[in-house]
Amino acid sequence: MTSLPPALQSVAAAVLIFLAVQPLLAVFLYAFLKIHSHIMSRVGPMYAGRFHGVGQPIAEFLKFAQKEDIIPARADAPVFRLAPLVVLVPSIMLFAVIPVWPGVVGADLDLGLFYLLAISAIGAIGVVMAAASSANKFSLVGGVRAVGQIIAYELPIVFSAAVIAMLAGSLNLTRIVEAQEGLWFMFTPFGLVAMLLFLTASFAEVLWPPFDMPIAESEIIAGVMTEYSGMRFLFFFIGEFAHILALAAAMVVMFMGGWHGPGADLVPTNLQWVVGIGWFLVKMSVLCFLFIWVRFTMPRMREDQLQRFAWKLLIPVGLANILAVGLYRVLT
Amino acid sequence: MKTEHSDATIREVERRQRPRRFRLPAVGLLQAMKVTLRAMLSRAVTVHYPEERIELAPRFRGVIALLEENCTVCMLCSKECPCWCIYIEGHKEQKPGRRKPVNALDRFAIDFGLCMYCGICVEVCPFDALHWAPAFEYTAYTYEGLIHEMPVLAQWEHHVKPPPELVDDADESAKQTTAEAHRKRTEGIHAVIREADKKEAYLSAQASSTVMPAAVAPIAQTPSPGPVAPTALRESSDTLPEEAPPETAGNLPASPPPAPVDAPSPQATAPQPTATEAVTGSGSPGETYGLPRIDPQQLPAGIGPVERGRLKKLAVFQERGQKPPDDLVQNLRPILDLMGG
Repeated sequence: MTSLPPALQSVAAAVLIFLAVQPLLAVFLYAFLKIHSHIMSRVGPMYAGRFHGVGQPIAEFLKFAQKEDIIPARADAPVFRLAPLVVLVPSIMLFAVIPVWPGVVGADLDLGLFYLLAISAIGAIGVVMAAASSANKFSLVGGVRAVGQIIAYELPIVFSAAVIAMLAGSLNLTRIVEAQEGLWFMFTPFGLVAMLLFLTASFAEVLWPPFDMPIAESEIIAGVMTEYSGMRFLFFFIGEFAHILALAAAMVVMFMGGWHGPGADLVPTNLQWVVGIGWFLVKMSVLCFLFIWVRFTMPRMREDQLQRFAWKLLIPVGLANILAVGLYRVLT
Repeated sequence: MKTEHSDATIREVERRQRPRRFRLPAVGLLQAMKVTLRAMLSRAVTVHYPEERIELAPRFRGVIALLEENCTVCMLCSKECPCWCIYIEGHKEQKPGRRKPVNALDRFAIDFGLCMYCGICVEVCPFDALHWAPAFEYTAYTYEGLIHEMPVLAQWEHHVKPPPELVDDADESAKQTTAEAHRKRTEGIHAVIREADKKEAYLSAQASSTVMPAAVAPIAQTPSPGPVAPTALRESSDTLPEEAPPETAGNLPASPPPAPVDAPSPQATAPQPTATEAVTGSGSPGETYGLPRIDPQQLPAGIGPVERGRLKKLAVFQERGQKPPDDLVQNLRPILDLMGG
């Protein structure tokens, strides 16, 4: 790769990351369907792919690909067409700065953490675009709710990230993982609080239950997605799933020690990366399971409960946490 | 009436009603997580239907079956049906030993595309000719395919299961009710038999003293279920094709022709056993499997039409030496006990 000109290197990295995300998405979708079903004491997909429905993610994709792409007559067509991509692309872009092993990272930015927060917030613009261009009152209500929610829950995420930056002394994600060599941040009191805040806010950030008021299907008919069908509808879903995966990966990097884990020194040096990336994936799986588990356990929060929870609990706790970690850094 | 409560009881109730002073936040959420995790780890309740099947309840209401012999063409089911989905055609027919012509059933069909499975027909039938049967897989590609005629309805009758035994720890009163019903039923059979014996004796005395009407032929000479006498009573000649024997009616799956018997078959109206039943037994003709031999021409007098039909069915099995279905034997158990002892 180093022999290529820098521009081509970036393109190659982007293509590689895009390709690497696809199997992750398929596995996540399959786990989603299966865990979802078993929580309801069902078995879920059993036929596609012959063995326990392992082909279901592909079948789902093909199903949506066959469907008609409908654009409402009153819709703002260009914006309507663009909105799903504005949700999807940033979700995949998030993976660019996730280091899974020293040097195995799309772009080792010095502002990695900042990039993560900034790109993660772009999805909200896509939601607003979809809401405004659909010419549908349900979409509009959903869009308004989504904006209010994402603004409210972006703050706890930023505060948590600030705590991590203060603990690690760097915004570079590789540096943050290296700072957790001895002790993962989730095992420090500040890190634990920050992680709980980040985790809770992540649910709201991707409009995932119990914070799915903006896309409440029983109330405002999937909100911003009311008018979408076929591939564009699928893009919203892939975007949501990719966003969940990216946030799980970010949490592994920020709180759970990235590739660190016992057993790496038991294998030869040139194979240690296998153990490291394995640990990374295991930690990510645990978080993803948690996301799915919570999704099919918690009832949806009401809009006012949701706002009160963010502004009266999460944000004050986040601010106090920053204050505490600041004092701790100054005093020690 | 005033109920006395001790102070301690009242204090205890109040203590339980008072909100607890301190509760860990999110305990309820964690409990919910525990519930769903347990559900996820326990085995799914799904039955993989085409490959696996659940055992249906004995009184499962899947389809309505017809016991042809019991039908007297009284039309009550057809009239009561809210969907008007029961089609009945019949004619009057002179029967030997009967002074008045009786109704004979030509066609009985239910359009399950219209049926709403209310069961009113089963309820109103005064002769127990209609029963709920557990079959439920009778989808069709056309609306016409959902209209099922006599042979199919009769075939479903074989699937009707006997009522389940009461469980050991059933309520005492339920046990008593069941025992009482069984006793009454047995007593009733005795009473009816006594009554019928008297009638039979009277009729035979009459027959020996007076000239038998020309139209009434002895039973043994009755060749077919077709009309014996006054053809004028028949409604129209349109019903003629309907008199075809049940097995020619196309939608019955490959029913074997009845085995040839020496004596003229006396019960041509008895249902033809279905393919599944035909293979259940392959003993030698005459084998009775420990049951009293049934002579279809000399059934115990006076028993009800249901039992008469079932006994005739049992006779067919005995004639062919096939093992009768367990549920048939179980349904006939009281009568067989009477006949045996």
